[in-house]
Amino acid sequence: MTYKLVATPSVEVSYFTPTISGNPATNDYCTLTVGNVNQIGITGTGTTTLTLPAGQYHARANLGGTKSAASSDLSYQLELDGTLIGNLGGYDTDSGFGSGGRVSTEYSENVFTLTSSGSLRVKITTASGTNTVTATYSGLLIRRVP
Amino acid sequence: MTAIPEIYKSSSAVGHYYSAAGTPALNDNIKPQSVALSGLSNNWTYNSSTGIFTLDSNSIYLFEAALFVSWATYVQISNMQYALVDASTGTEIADGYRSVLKCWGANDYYASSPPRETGDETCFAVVDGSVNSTVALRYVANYSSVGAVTFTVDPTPSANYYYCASRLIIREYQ
Repeated sequence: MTYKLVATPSVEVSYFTPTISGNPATNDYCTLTVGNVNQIGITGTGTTTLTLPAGQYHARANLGGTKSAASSDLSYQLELDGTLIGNLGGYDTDSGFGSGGRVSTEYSENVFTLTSSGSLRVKITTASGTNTVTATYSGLLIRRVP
Repeated sequence: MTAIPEIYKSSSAVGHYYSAAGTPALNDNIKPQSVALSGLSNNWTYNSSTGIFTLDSNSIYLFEAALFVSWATYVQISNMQYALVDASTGTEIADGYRSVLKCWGANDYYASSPPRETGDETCFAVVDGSVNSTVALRYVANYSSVGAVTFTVDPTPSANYYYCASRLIIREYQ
């Protein structure tokens, strides 16, 4: 009789890189490409929609790239099963303190529970002027408790 | 008969590294000098002289870092960028992104041509210890419209500007 002990980590991690070709427009979605770590087994790499298995999640998306002017604007948010969740992330706009502009970028993140599989996307909620979203400055971290 | 019981275990060691005072040159490692550990016993090691973390090949790591710097020359259109790199090759970790720190306010900074970089001021990376055995936080790029970019990480607090502190968080999933 042989017993084999298998210890399964209780927290799993996956990492995807969000990108958009050209100048993002409002309502565009990022293409999400898996990296080296995908313990959760999320599918959909290379598309705008990831399929997540059931579990308890923490997801955090950060976008970065270039801006051509201070007035250019880019805001983004996580979207779960077609519904926007969490907080808005965004690029700097205008001059920051005192003028109503946004000083630093913030990532969009949230925690959620899936009782069955679900879809996750990163949506551009507002875009104006000329911006880019590039792999060098962008990332999507997903953590799950099964 | 072979039975294979599965055990879900919560295994995480966490380290908060700080006090990275210095004036790094481009491609230097950022070298925090202090640490506070929590959670399980950690399987990574850290060399404060080189800034290099040696990782356990059986673990997945989350790194998160944010730097506080003061600029020696206040140039409106300048930035510095840092990222987690493989310490042996210098290659930026694939599952990660660069942080961008801008020297000046948005109006001046983005007035440059060509377009200037923007991104999170917090650098993040996920590392498989079996893929990258040694990593470091590194000053990897900069831009200035007028010449050299020089700055001090974790400067001595001054009454002239608001002070905060750099941090690097490492979380090891065993």
